This record gives sequence, structure tokens and C-alpha cells, in this order.
Amino acid sequence: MNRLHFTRGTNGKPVASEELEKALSSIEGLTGDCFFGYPLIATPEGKYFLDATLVTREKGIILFDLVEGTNVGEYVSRHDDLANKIEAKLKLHKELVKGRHLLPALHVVTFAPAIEDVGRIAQKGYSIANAEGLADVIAGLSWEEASEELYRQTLSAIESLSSIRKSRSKREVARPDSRGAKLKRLEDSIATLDHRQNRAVIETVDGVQRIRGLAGSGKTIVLALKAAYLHTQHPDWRIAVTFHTRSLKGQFKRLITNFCIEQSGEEPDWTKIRVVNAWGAPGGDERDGIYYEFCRVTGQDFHDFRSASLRFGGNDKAFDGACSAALNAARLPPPLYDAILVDEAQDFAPSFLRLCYSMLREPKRLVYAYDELQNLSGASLPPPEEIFGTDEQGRPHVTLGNDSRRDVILQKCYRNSRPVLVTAHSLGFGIYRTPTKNTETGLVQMFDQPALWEEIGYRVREGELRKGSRVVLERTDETSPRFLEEHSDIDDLVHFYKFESEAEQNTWLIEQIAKNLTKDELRHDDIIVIHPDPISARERLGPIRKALFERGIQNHLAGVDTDADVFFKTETPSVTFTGIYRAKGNEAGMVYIINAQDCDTSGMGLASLRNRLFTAITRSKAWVRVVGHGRGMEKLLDEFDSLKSRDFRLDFTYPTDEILSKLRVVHRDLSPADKARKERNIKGFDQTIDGIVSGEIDLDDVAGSLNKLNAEKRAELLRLLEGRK
Amino acid sequence: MTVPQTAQRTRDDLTGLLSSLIERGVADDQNFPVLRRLSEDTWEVTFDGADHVSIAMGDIDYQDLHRELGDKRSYSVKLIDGGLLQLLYLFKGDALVKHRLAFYPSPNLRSFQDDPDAYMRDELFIEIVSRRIIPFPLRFDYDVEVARDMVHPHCHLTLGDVKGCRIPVSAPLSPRWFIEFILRNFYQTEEHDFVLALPGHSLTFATTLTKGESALMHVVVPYETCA
Repeated sequence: MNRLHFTRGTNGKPVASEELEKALSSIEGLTGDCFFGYPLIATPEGKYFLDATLVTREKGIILFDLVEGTNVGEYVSRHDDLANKIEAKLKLHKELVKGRHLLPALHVVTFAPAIEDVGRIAQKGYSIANAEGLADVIAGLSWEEASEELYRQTLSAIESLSSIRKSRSKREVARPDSRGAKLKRLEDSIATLDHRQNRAVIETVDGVQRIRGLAGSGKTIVLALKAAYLHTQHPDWRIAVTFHTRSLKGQFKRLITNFCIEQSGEEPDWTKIRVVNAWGAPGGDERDGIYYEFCRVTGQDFHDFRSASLRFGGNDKAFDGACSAALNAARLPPPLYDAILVDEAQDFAPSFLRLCYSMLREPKRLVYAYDELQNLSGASLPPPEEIFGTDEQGRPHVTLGNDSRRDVILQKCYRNSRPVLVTAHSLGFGIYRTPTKNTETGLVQMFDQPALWEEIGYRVREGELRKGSRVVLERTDETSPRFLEEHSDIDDLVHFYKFESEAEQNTWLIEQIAKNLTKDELRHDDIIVIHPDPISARERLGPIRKALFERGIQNHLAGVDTDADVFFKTETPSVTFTGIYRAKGNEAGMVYIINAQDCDTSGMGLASLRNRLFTAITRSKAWVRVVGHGRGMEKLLDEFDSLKSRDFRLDFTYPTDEILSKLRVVHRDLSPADKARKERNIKGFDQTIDGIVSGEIDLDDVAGSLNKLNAEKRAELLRLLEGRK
Repeated sequence: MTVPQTAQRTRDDLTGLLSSLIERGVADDQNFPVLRRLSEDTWEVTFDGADHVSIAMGDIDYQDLHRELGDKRSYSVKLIDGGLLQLLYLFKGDALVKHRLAFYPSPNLRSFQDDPDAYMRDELFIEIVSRRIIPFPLRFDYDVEVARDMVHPHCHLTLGDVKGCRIPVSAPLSPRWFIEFILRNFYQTEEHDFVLALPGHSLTFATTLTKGESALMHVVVPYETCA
């Protein structure tokens, strides 16, 4: 039996790599993981990477030195060099060392598929093989200390060679049980990438790659490290990393810099790897953006926010319109990039992804990461076949098929504990929302494909995960690690409060913040206060900020001129206040979501309101408080209580196709013009009814209009009327 | 040691004003006003972070200057459109000897009045601006020591950071008058009246305009109307 898993990074030796994969796959009795172009390590002589690294249960570690062509060069000294460097790195892991001896066996093999008679050049004690001889060479290797546990530790050590996650700055704590101390322990334990993340970093495919993942599953880190990895392996490539929220820019720059320095010992070359806004504007490198560059290079009209919103409509329509207009104009740009990585793709219209695609050199390496539920505008991203269109024969330009390398899902959530994440999903989908009159389900939205639930890390506990069936879903310890929730009581992790009024809510909030800072040992930047409605955030947050200011508690509002990197100001202690847009891409230990009642309505656009709530809740690294007042808050509280009483499991009947399509219509967002028209029509109808009731309009007068109804609508109307009797 | 009355009242005046700006959502960030003793009888009303303020005098590009002030948080308050206000007062005993009240609008963003709704609704892409912004900083300086009749009025208004521009001003400005001046001219719109919400006037400074200066075109601080 052979169970080898391959992670294909780049090493500049594609032919030999392919031959090696083929040869290894046919060898019996090997299980483990093989990484191409990995790990990268910084050495005193500069950056260094392995052609291929194989970690197996049976033989320990085998480092491969690949030779394309027939010249093996000084392969003996390369062997020594490789072994010494990797041994030095691995010896830093205490669990892999006994005395001064490295426990996992460390072998080096030169693989030279183009050389027929390797025996002629082989030197004693230094393995060299071609495809035919590889099995024999490997059979000759041994690992005496082999054990399952040691194998796992070795694999994890190899994978952690590219870990760079570090908390923002040191944390001072005096009491071991304070919130500050708990947060410190959490930050220390989330230190390395997991297997899937690591694989997503290393593997880039020719063509389009999609990375889906939950909030907090590390999409941004994966994208940043991927960009840094590609930059290190291909220093001449022009690479762009782009995003929707400006505050991500600082994070990306920091992560890429750290990775490059730790893995290659070199600063990134920012003229080659560019961290740029999606939109951009004239005014130098800092302000540059993908769309602006497109316009600049093709000589087309550039629209800034103002001119785009005047021309195409406000908010999301503005950028979509600008991108579409640019693409529709005659000339496409010459290839500008070798790879483009897009974060938060859920917030872009397909036109922006098409624009990126058009700027890429063949084989068009576009990587986009997204989380469906964090979409704040209500329009979700269609599948790639639709996004990128079809050729003359009607074949899609891009299709991901069932290739798990092209369609990556990160299912482990490292930011939110299980109760917090399930709460976010429960409210985001309206799992326990009471159906209104005339509706079959309280659900607000639902994945079209039931299987997606398992892919994002849920497990079926009861029932069946298929349309029309009742199902009970829960998260597993694997996908929601226990340590994230064990530090605090469940009631403390996530709590909902309903107040009598906004003023009462605000008074409570101010007290809580003061307590967090004085008693709980939280830092100012551990706290975010989110008002989910972006439009009224400024006004409604004002009085709270004022009260804190008057108590001497520094705070700021994340605004347009809040510089990317100082969204959280570690050197100046300041509590962050924000609307939902600028909360995205950020996280903090304690998250307060205030005026949550606004996220429950019987009107239009409930899906995007619930997505706001979802996004807000998932900002929390540890604790979250959802507060508000009035009827809306009461309903949210009911939903949360239902969830809690079911031990944070999602128990619901999966909607049928018919209901699913209704959900899409009912809760979708209308454009302001559509909304106004609909409201006008309803009002007009209402007036007509008033007229009939008062006798001002005779029923005979409207009989003609009623005749326009077809049989189906007629029956529906009758049902409705009879139901009221 | 007694804290001089006027200095304390100046600090309190400023604190009340910042409160109001925060409450109305026109201030995004701020530093607490502080009253600091510099020597035996010199007192300063300033803000945390004022150590870096000296760079504002240097000969650097406005774009860099604005960014530097922002990064170092060298301001009393940062307004909704990235405009920065610095208020600094220096007292000897109870007498005001110097003030420096500056407004640094953002060189990258449209002014608030240009698109008030987009700012109040906190739209996401307001920073995407292609039009060249012509930022126009202004400053009210008061300095007893260097004052020279007609040439360097005690209190003067400098427009656009032009060296020789010293428009005479009748008296030192209280924080209240300075903030009102900025709000009324650069932030007031038909829908948004931030001035109305400001706390009342609580501080008056005596006239320092000389006879010669009063014969020139000059700016009057109308203390008598609000006394």
C-alpha cells in the first residue's frame, strides 16, 4: 500500500519533480507527505530551499536533491550541506532530540531521472537514483526509532518551519486568571500553521485557485505567506496582493516582510511584490491600485469614487461599474502580472476578478480568497465558470472541477471558539428565527449545496444533510479546537443582553469598558465596539465615545483617514469604535456589538443585515457581547437562547430547492430605486383597499384589473382571503 | 503652588469643545488636553504627543508633514475628513504669552463640505480621489515677545503657511473661537450644524491690536458680543 500525499510548491525543476512524484507513487509501503520546493530556510549565505522533502512513517525524512539533465555536479557536498542545514533547524525542536541526537532519521537522495547509469557516478554513502532505481535506494534506508508519535511530531516540525504568527506586542499581566492573561495564553498557542494552511501556502496552480474559508481560518495569513513564498521562489515575478478593506494593507506588508526575512533572510523587493488597493488613485505608489493601473496602462478614463458613484450608483455599484466599463472598452492591457492574489473576494463584483484576470500573463495565476457569509452587500459571488465567462465554443475559461488543489477549503477556525462561531452561523442563517406569517421557514439564507456545511467543518449529529430533511449539525474538536473555548465559561465567551433603551445600553457599555481596562488587564486595543449599521455609526457611537473621553479613557473612531496600520494603536492605548465596514479584517479579544436590534427586521435586505452580525461576531478572539434594546433585540435573544439550550448545535430542516429560491428573492437586497418603487406600489394598493372599504371605489371598478390575474395568482389570492376569515 | 486661573480655564474650554466634537461624530481621534508646568511660573496648555510638533515648522513637503503629524498623533483632534487641529497655549503666571492654533487639512481627501453625506455615512471608498486636492493650512499665532507694531502683530493669521503672511488679528483666540472659526468655514453645511452644539463662550482675552494695525485690514475676534 502506498499512501503518499503531495504538496506541489515550486522549485524551478518541473520535469524532475514530476518524475519524482511518479516514481514515489509507485513504491509500495510508503506513507507520508511529500513537499516540493519546501521548506525555505534562511542561512548565513542567503536563502535556501529544498527541491523536495519527504516525511514518511517508515523511513523518516528523505531530502531530495533533484537534477534535471545529466550533470550532477558536486552532489556529495550538496548532500552534506542539505543534511547539516535541516538537522540544525530540526534540532531546535526539543521533542525531536535525545541528548544531542536527532531522533527522526534524516536521509538525502539525489534524484537524476535523465541519467541512465547512475551507478557510474555514485559515491559510497551518498545515495543517487533515477526513476528505475529509486525504489531500491529507498528500500535500503531505515529508521530504527520509527513510531507514529514521532512521525507526527516530525511532520509538524517540518510544517512549522514556515510559521510566523506572532502577536502584535508583548502583554503585561499580573493576575494569572485575568482576561489579559487568558488572551496571552491564547495568542501563544496559535503559533503555527496547520496542515491545510501550509499546503495552501505552498501550492499555487497554473490558472485560477479559489480559497474558501471561515472567518478566522487564516485566509489572510495564507494569502500573505503564499505571496511571500512565490516572491522568494521567483524574485523576478511581478506579484500583486489586493483586498477590499484598506486596513488589511498594513497586515499584509507586515506578514510578507516577516516571512521573507525569516525564510530567506532578505527584505521583500516591493517593486516586484506589490501590496495595493483594489481601486487606487493617482498620487504615487502608496495610492496606486489594480483598477487605476489598468486604466493607466490602457489609457482609459479613470473614475474616482465620486465620479463612479455619480455614473454607476453608490456603494458597491460604483466600483463594479467602473471595472465593467474599463473591461468593456476596446483595449485590454498587456500582461502586467505573473500572479495576483485577492483577499475578501466576497466583497467584489465579478467584474473586478475579471479585470485582475485580464492583467495576468499566461498561465494566469489568480488566487482569490473568500467567505460567503462575510459578504456585506447581499450579492454573492457566482461560481468561477460564470465569473470568468466562456470562449467562442461556449466552454468556460475557468473551471475548478473537483481538484482540491484548485478549490481549497480551510475548515479549521482559529480565531473564534466553537460557541462564538456557531452563534455567528446561527444568527447569520437565522437557524432559530421564528417564521413570520405565511412563510414556511425562519431561515434567512442557506447554502445551495448542503455538503458545504461539512466542508466548513461541521459534522452531522442527527438526521440527514440533504434538502428537505431535518438535520442537526455540530462542530468537531478537530475543526474548532478546544483550547479556544476552555479558558472561559461558555456564558462568558458569548453573551446577549437586552436593555430597555439605548441610553441604558450605553451606560452599561461604558462601565464594562472601564472594568476591562482596570480590572481585567485588557489593553485598550483588545477592545472593539461595533455598531453594525455603517450609516448611523458615527452619530450613535458619538455619545459613548464622549462619555469615555470625559472619564479619561482614550478612544477613536476607525474612519477614512485612520491609517491602515494604526487601526489598532499599540503604542497609544485607545479603544476602537467602528461601523461594520471598517471592522472587517480585524480582530480583538473583547468585541461589543451594540444596537444589534437593527439586525432584525421584517423588511428587505435581512440577509445582509444578518451578515453584518455574522461579521461582527466573528471579529472576536475570545469574548463577544451582543447587546441592544427593543423588539428586535428580544428576537435575537430568543434565537440565541434556542441555540444555547441545544448546546450550540444547529437543528433545522434543510430547505428544498423551492424554498431556497424563495429565500434568495425574499431577503435579497433591492436597489434604492427598486425599493422605492416597491414601497410605492404597496402603498398604492393599500390606498385602493381603503377606497373599497370606504365605498369610494366600487368593486366593479376594479374587476377589470382583477381579470389580469392568472389562475395561479387568483387561487393564491383566494387562499389569502379565506385564510383571513 | 496655585495653578493660574486662565490657563486652567483654557484647558477646560478645550476639553469641553473636544467632547462636543466627539459626540457629534466630527472628531475621529483626539489627544487629551493637558495643563503642564514648564518652569516656576510658565504653564502650557497642550496635548499628549506635542513633543513632535516642532517638525511642523520644518521645511518639508506638506504631504509628508501631514502624514508625519498623523502618524505621530501630533494633534489636539483629528477631524472626520483627516483635517488636523493643533491648539497650544503658553502662559506666564496668569498672562497669555503665546498661542499657536493651526488647521492642517488633508492633502489626500476631499474636504467635508465637498461631500458631507459620504463622510457622515462613512462610505468605504471616500479615499479614492483623483482630483488634485489643494490643501490650505492656516494658523493663528500669538506671541508677545516677537511682536512688532504693524510688521508682526501680536496676534496674526497666516494663510497657506506663507512666511510673510501676517494678517493682524484683534486679540488672542480662545479655543472656543478658534474651533468655531474652523467649523463655520470648513465643516458647516445646510444639514450639519456643528457650531450650534458647541458649549458656550467662557473665556475672553484682551485686545492687543495696535493703533497702526487697526488702520490695516484685520480680523476681529468679537469677544464683546459674547461676554
